[in-house]
Formats: sequence, structure tokens, C-alpha cells
Amino acid sequence: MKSTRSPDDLLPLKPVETLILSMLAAGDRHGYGIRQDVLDHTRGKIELEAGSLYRLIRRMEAEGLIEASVARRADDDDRRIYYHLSSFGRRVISAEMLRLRELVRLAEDRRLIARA
Amino acid sequence: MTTRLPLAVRALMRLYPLEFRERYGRAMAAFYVERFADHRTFGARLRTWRRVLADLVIGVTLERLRGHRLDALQLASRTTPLSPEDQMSVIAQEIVHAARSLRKSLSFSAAAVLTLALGIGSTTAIFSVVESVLLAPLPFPHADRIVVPQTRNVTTGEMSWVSYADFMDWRDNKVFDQVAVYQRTEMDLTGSDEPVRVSAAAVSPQFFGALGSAPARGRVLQPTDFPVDAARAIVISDRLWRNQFGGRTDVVGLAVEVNGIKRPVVGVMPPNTRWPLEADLWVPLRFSTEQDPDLQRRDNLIFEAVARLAPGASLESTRARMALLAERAVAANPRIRKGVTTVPVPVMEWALGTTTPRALWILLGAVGLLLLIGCVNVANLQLARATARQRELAVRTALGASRLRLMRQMLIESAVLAGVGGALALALAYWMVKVIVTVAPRDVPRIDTATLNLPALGFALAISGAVALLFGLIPALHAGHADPHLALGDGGTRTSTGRRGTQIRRTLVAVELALSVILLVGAGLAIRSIAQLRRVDTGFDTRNLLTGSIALPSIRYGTRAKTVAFIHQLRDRLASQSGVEAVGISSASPLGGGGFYLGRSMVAEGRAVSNATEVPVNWNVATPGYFAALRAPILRGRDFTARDDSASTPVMIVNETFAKLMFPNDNALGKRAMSSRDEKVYREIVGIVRDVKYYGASDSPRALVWVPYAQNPWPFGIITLRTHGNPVNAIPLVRAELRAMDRGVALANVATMADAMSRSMAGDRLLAVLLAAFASLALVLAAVGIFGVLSYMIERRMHELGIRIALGAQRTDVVRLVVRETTPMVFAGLGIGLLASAGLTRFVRSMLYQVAPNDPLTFVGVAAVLALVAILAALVPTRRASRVDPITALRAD
Repeated sequence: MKSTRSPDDLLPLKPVETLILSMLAAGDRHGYGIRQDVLDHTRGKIELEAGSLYRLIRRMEAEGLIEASVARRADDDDRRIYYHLSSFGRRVISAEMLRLRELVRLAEDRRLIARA
Repeated sequence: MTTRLPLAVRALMRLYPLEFRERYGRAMAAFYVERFADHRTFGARLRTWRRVLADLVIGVTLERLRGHRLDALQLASRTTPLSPEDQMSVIAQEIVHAARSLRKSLSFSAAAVLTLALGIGSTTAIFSVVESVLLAPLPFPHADRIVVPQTRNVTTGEMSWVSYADFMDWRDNKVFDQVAVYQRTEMDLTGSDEPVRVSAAAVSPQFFGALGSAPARGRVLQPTDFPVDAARAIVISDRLWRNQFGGRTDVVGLAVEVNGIKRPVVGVMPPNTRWPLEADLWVPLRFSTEQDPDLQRRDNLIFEAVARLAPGASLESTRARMALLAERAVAANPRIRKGVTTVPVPVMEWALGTTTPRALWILLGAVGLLLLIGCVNVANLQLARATARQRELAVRTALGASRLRLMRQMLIESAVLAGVGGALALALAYWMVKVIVTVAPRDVPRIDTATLNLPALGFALAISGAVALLFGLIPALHAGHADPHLALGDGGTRTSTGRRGTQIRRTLVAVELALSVILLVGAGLAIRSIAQLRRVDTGFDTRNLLTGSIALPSIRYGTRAKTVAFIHQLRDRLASQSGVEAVGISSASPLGGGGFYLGRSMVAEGRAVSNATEVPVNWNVATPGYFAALRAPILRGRDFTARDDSASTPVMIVNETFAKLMFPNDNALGKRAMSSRDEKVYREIVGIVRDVKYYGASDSPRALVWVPYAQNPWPFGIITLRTHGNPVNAIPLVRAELRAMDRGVALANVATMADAMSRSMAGDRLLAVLLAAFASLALVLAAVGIFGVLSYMIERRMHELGIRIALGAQRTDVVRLVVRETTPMVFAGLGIGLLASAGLTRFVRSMLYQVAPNDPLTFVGVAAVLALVAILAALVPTRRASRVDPITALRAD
């Protein structure tokens, strides 16, 4: 079922989903780890709390963008759930980034911002 | 890994639907363990709590609604697939329908909307003030790294300012990233027609670095500004720049006359970036040498300090380093430093003090209770309405309306209520914040920055809106479950559902009453405290007194003789004016009227100087006639005279408390004592004056001394003028005399003593007024609750009452019935409320003046008021019950 879906169906992503997926692209993260990563990368502007974070996670799990990981370190808090990008999720976040790049290029062409 | 999560978090997590909890509950718990593990400061912890709780409440609400929404959508699509446009128009129809139906039961709607508006509005307003005054970070980068170094008395815990020698220790040992000392002062902007007094600070080189503040224009002070021969550079605040320089863009580089000297403006600070909080002008603190013996003295605590923690250092590690240096200072100066250490105080803690946060938390608690009462009341109203509408809904169900449709209508009705209530609340909160900012005492820090806090409004609205929705759904749920035949056939209001509803509603009313009692007790205590304050004997006559301060620029009044001459001449000129009854000048004014005094230690003649013999005093300067102007009676001895000058015997006038502390067994008059650490001159006590309230009306007695200007000339004074008529009329006269003597001396801080008196009680009064207002609202809401329950009860038993009366029951029997219905509810509420109050009043203990927290008068009074209100609320329903006409009542079925 899922493999027949095109990543484009899910675009555009919400900014916060884009952020979370980008963080997971770097490797497995648990809930609080995602929060800290997002916090660091937004210079403290976006602070996710557990309730909203896990509701986002549920939606992205349902969409097949992310999956819970099985492997974990032995000394870890066993209540944690680690997540990683599914291959479909990787395609979606890439598609979203390409879409954003188009927008950035448009802005550069229109002289809204300087060329990177 | 077994860290327990806070109860509130666990409780809220339990409210998530089971399916969500099973899937993510444990992961969320692990999240919270880390979330709560990581904060250093109280403010950070508070912020986390606020965020986590808000997130949980929103999450639970959305999750709980989610199921219904899905149901609703699926059902809708199965029965009638509506296009989005159609759906919109159905919803629009239902909003109109809801508004119409609410208008039909106008009193219900008005009660619900007002309840919501008052609860949400006051909570938002108080929280907005709390946010800006207590929670908002100071406008400096990483403000949590800024500390205020203080000197601490190990035995008493009393904090004081710091000595320059300690400051040099910290600076030279790199205890901090940056550390600075400063002295507050007032300066006159001169050169224009009317000189203007501004708050200023003379600061050491790392001052702006320690705050981490960058200028909006120009630059801050730099090392080259500090040598005594450098140009006297000044930095000004955004406020001063706008108010005094019209925001002119070329202000940097402009030469401005301050205290009679031209000084270049080198920079302007950004808006609201002020430290100390009221400063408008910063100048370099300059010394020809740091070796000055006065700067080397470890007990010369005349500087305030501010510092930024060193990179990697914590508050604790810094505390340890400061303690170590302080111990060395004790070892080197055991006589003066024994029992003294130095500590870093987080800047917010220092800026806010203890009274303001406590008062604000109390108010926040009070409005929290009010919001709770509001929610209970709305629930109660919704329940009442539910019962009243059971029949209508049953009819509609019988006619084929789906349960979904009914639920949607109820939801929309509740949403309209919450929406209107919320809009009113917004207006109310906006207005309340404005009022509070205007009437709050001026010494509440940052109160002027208070603005409406929208997240707080959202939070309050979400809670009470959720309550309204939840209870609004009940009739629809019943309508779905109830069998239409049953509902229509028999009086639906007499089914078991009705009875259970009544029980819930009685409990709700009892809860409301209990909460109101708590508020009433708080308000009662605050009002009693204010009444005590009003009765306070200030020690002098506060009527018809005008005060205003002057500061003499050192450039023209560089010598003692010139200063003394000016002060005495001004006094004499004012005394000769018509309309002036008496006049005196002093360095500080009572009732917290401002000015300057020195905290000194004095020892009586013939006693060795030691901690045991030293008496701490407030050292003031005064002219002859000052006490006569105050009408503070000189109990023994005499006033200063013109003959008490620099050539004559050193003298002083002391107050009763000083006499008692210094000479417990002797007559103090004629005895001598000296300021043991600095002046070291024995002064003869020539007069003993009655105690006056020094810092404010609630002040406790303290030892005060006054010495004559002629023997201790300060270039500063507060004029105290007693007039025959309204003191305000004398202001032009004082200004004119001053201008005639020196155009460059400003008259500032002009106020009447009655103002000072009421200002010194402003905080207590505001607390009392707000608490009383909230308590009255609570009482009204509770009364509405009682009224509602009784009316409903009587409505429900109309039939029964009719039969009873027809069978010969007396009116008094009916009244007895109502009393039986009301009493348990009222007593339960009252009892629980009084018990809870007794437990809670310890939080207000420190805010009370000469009132015990368990003040029996207050408790009895509250019980009486509540009983009275309960009787009033029960009156109308009772009258109606006793006038039931058996014929009508029986025909109704």
C-alpha cells in the first residue's frame, strides 16, 4: 500500500515535521533527544513538549515516515522509544527539501535574498 | 532510572486515552525524567512546569476530542456525504440556532458568560502582571548568569552592600567574568530654564560588560573615560534620550550640562535596559587612587555591585570562591570582619525582593481560586440547563434528530458561550492590567512593563472553555441514552438522572462555598491589616506638610561654608513667607519619603568599641526647626539652634528608641556617643525626640540620630514645609524662592506627607482591594450557585409541594424543607472552607500588620457574611415554594 504512495502527496510538510525528520536523518533519536536536537538547531526557538511531540510522532508513524527502532544500548532507560526514518520518510524529506530549494532559488532570483 | 514523576504530571498523563497511553505513556515518562532533571534556577523550573502542564492539558483535550471528531466525521460521511460548503453552511446555521436558543434563556446565558469573563479576565490580568514582574527575564543577554555580590552577616542573615576592598579581591582574583561596583545618586540636568533631576549611577569600568548590554547608539563607557583628567563622559537611557533630548539623532557627541558641568554624551542604551532599574544616566566612578584608606576599609560598605559569572562557573562554585576570599579578609581584619562573609545573589532574586513576589503569588492564588469557582459555576449552570432541556431534547430525539446532531448543537452552544465570555474576558483583562499598573505602588519593580499576556488568556480560556464544553455535552448524552417514551411520558425531571444531577450540583455548590470562604478569609485579613495600618501613630502630624528635595552641584557649592549658608538661607527665606507655618530641612524624610541617611554604628562614651556595645543607627542631618515643622515633639532637651555650628560642641538629637537602646537604665540627655567606625567624634545628646515611622507606616522602631547641617554639611536636603492651608498651593512659592537663590538647583520629588503616608500603604491597600474584589465576585458566584440549586429543587418538587399543601401542610413546613435542603450544603462548604483557610493563612502571615493569621474576628465575620448570603440566595426560591398554588402545581403535569 504505502509503496504506491508518492512522496509528493504529503507535501508540503509542516515546518516542525520537516525539522524532526531532518534530525532523524542523522540517526536514531528518542523523544527527548529529538527535543534537544530541535532546540539546538533552532537556537532555542522551538521547544517541543512531550504531548505535542508524541502526537506528531504518532502521525508520522501512521504516515509511514518514521519507525520505532528495535536495537538499543543495554544501559539505557528501557522506557525510551528510539525512532528512525523509514525509506519512504527519507524520500519524503528529500522531496520536501527539494521543494524548499526551489523556493529559495525563486527568492534568490527575485533578489529577496542574496545568493548563498 | 526510578525517578518519580511529579504527581500532577502523572495525574494529567492518566487523562490521555488508554490507546495513546499504552503506546507512548512510558516513552513520555522517560521524556519527563530528562525534562525535569535539567534546571538550575527557580525561574527555569517554573517555566518548565508552565510549559509541561499547558502541553499536557492541550494534549489531553485534543486527544479526547479526537475520538469524537473522528466518530462525527465517519458518521456524517456514512449518512449524508456533505460537501465542505454544505458542512460550513450547516455549522453556520447551528451557530445561529445556538445564539437564538441562548437568547431565549437570557439569564442563564448572561450568568454563564459573566462567570467565564470574570474568571478568565482576572486570572489573565494577574498572571500578566506576574509574568512581567516576576517571570520575564531581565533585558540582558544570559541574564541568569548575572549576580549581585553582597555582604552577609552570618548570624542575622542580613545583607548589605560591599566594600571596595572586597570588590578589588574579586576583580584581581578573577572570581567573575566581569565585576563592577557602582553608587546610585541623583544628578541635575542643568543649562535649560528648569533644571531636571534624574536618577544616575557612577559605575566602575566593567559595569556594562557585567550586564552584557550593548548601546543602541554610540558606545558604553570605556577604560579611557575613567582617569580623573579624562572628559566626564556620560551614557544615557533610552527614556532620557526621548524625554529630554526629543530623540534627536545627533545626541552622541552632544555636550550636556550635568550638575553645572558640560559632559559629552557618548552613548544611548536600548529601551528598558536599565540597571539599577530606575537609572537614566551613567557616569564613570573615578578615584585618583584606589589606595585611598576609605576604599581599603573592609567595613566601608558603600558600594553596590553587579557581576557576571565566570565561564564554566556555577552559582555554587562562585559562592565558594567568594567565601574563601571573605575568610582571608576575616583573618586579616578580625575586629571588623568577624561573622561577615560575601555571597553572590541571583540578580532576579535581588531585584524583586521578598514582598512583591509574595503579594503577587497570593493574588495569583486568589484568581486561581476565582477561576476554579467560575468553572464550578459554569458546570453548575450547564447542569441546570441540561435538566431544564431534557424534555426538549427528548422531543427532538423522538422526532428523529440524531444524537450526533444534538451533540453538535450543544457543543456549538457551549462554544458560543465560551467565545463571548472569552471576548469579554479579553476586554476585562486589558482594562484590569491598566488599572493595576496605574495604582500599583511605584516601588514594584518593572510594573510599568506589564502588558496583557495572551498565552495566559488562552490558558484560562482553554480550561474554562473545556469545562463549559464538557458539561454542555451532558444533556446531549442524556438525550441519546434516555428513552424518548420515558422522557415524554413521565415528568422527565423526576427520573433518577435528575436526582443524581441534583447531588452533583449540591456538591458543586459546597465546593464553591468552600473556595469563596478561603478568598473571603484572605481578603478579611488584608482589610484588617490595612485598618491597623491606618490607625498607626506615625509620631508626627502628617497633615498640611509639603516635601521636596534639592541637591547642590559641587561645582558651585564646593565648600562646607557655601553649602551650609545655602541650606540655612533657603530655610530662613521660606520661613518668612506668608502661609508657611514652619519649615525645616533634613537629609531624609520619614514614611519612606526618600533622601539620604547613613547606616552607622555608635558607641556610648566610656564603653569599649565592640560588636556588643555598638548600636546600629540611621544617621541624618537636619536644620533647626525641622522637628517643629514635622510636629514631632522633642520630649526632653532642645532643638538645634543657629549656635550649633562647626565651632561649637558637636551635638545630636536622638529618638526614644536610640535612647532606650544606648542607655537602657539612664537618662540619655546630656550623654555622649560617637560613630565608632568613621566619624569617631563624641557628640552630646541635646534633645530626645519622639519615635517617628521611618521607612513606612508598618515600620518597627529603629534608632535614629540627627546632627546639624552646620556640623555635617551635606549638599542635599529635603525641604519639609508646614502650611496653613493646602500644602500643594505652596509649591510655586518654594520654586520661586529657589529660583531666586540659584537657577541651577532643581526642586524634585515634590509630594505632600499625606501622599507619602498613602504611598507607604499603597501595596497593602492594593492587595486588600484586589483580594476583596475577588472575594466578592466569588461570593456572588456562590450565591448564584445556591440560588440555582434551590430554584431547581423547588421546580422539580413543585408537584410534591402542591400535594403537600393541598393536604394541609403549613407554609413553615415548606420553609423547613428548603432549610433542610440548604443547610448541609452551606455547612459543608463553610466548614471545609474555614479549615482550608486555617491551613493556608500561614502564606499571608508575613504580609499582615498586627493581625494574627488566625484572627478570630475575620473567621467569625466570614462565617457570618457567608451565612447571610446563603440566606439571601435562598430567600426568593423559598418564597416561591411557600406560595405554590396546589391547583396550578397539580395541573402542570
